[in-house]
Amino acid sequence: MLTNLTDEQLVEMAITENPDAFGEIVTRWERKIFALCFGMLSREDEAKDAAQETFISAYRNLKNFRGDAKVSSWLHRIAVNQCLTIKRRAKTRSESFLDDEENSEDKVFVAPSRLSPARTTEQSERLVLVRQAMSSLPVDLRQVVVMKEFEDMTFQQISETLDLPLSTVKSRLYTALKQMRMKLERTPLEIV
Amino acid sequence: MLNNNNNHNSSCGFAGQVVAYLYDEANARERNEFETHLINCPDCTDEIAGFGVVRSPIGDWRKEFSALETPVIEIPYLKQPNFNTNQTVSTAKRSRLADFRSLFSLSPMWKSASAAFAALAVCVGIALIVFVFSGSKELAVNNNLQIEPTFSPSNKIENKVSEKVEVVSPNGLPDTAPNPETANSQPNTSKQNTRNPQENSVVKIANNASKQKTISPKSNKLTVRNETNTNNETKTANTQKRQAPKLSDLSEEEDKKSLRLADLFEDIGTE
Repeated sequence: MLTNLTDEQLVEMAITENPDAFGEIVTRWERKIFALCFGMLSREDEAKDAAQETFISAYRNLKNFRGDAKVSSWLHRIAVNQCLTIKRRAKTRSESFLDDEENSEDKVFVAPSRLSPARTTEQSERLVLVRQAMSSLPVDLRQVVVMKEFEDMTFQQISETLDLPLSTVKSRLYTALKQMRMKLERTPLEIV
Repeated sequence: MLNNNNNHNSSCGFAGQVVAYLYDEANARERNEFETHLINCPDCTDEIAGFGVVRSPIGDWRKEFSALETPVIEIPYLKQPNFNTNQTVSTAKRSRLADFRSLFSLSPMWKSASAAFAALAVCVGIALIVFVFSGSKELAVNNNLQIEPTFSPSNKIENKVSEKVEVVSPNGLPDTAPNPETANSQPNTSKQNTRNPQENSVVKIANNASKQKTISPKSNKLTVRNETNTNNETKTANTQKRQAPKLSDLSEEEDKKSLRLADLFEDIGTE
């Protein structure tokens, strides 16, 4: 069964004999890559495009994949690059409009909740603030936060995926949370 | 209000333990150590609280993400957009045909190259067939041209009709004295001559059965060529095959008339 094979074995199989083995890799990683893209871009449509482009780009460059890196880190690197490309494109498009982040805020869809209208409004505002705070983070810090919060990856997994020491991952997450907290504290919104 | 204390720092050296504790990834020993440290470190306590506040909206954001469906990833290069995860590893021995197919499936270049080669082969084949057929036709035409000068329907006539050969000049006057029996046909001949003024001469048959007399139109001289009986037989056969006009059907009266073979010879000459 393909499900019993590691990611690296699947890639090798996709290169040598069965291109459809790449489908198993897509199945394994599509949700996590989508989460990463969603965390990085904050928009569903852009995140979908980024995820799609990530796997297409990975498939095109299958033969360039070197066995010394993990498939997960390879995919995450591609995804982050795709997100940055999409963000650049969006920024170029919205240069003549308002600030990019402010512009994207208005278009963000917030799922309806069963809370009271006042509470819902407050929650929506908090959500907007945290998106803003996240967007302001450097890419390397944002990536760690997204991998931890959206992809539910352990520190060890993040360390292996990004090919970083465990301590570096922890310190990056610590720094990211610290910066976000500072940004949220500066805002006039009262969060109880 | 959020805690405005921005003086939280990791100077105590427990920064790594803060996030491990926050995300519940510390083991039991580390957890106990950090909880003991928290009692005596207000900065770390403050950080834990502040990070918790930051994580709360992230949790909401994550809920929003959880409600989203995973997009259908379509790789255009793969045959199956919906991937079959239950596909078994091809450890079984594959047939040679499958190997051959996989060779083509690996590289689409093979497909286009083989298609181009097949198209080229078909074109070359068609051209070859056309060339061969046209060559054989030309050969047949040449053969006919070689045969036809010797072919004379008059051979058939010669056996039937025994008359003199009379050369008529273009002006319609006979070179030899007209046969009284053929004299009646003279006006007819002259009429035909006037119809074909380009002819140098007109041959009227009055031939022996065993000799063929041909007239060279250019030299305006009468040349007689003897041919063997065997040649005559073969020519007769050719004549029969080609369904030359049968003068045997002619009545004796018509036989006696001088027949014009000029048209026949002209046809032969032109061919």
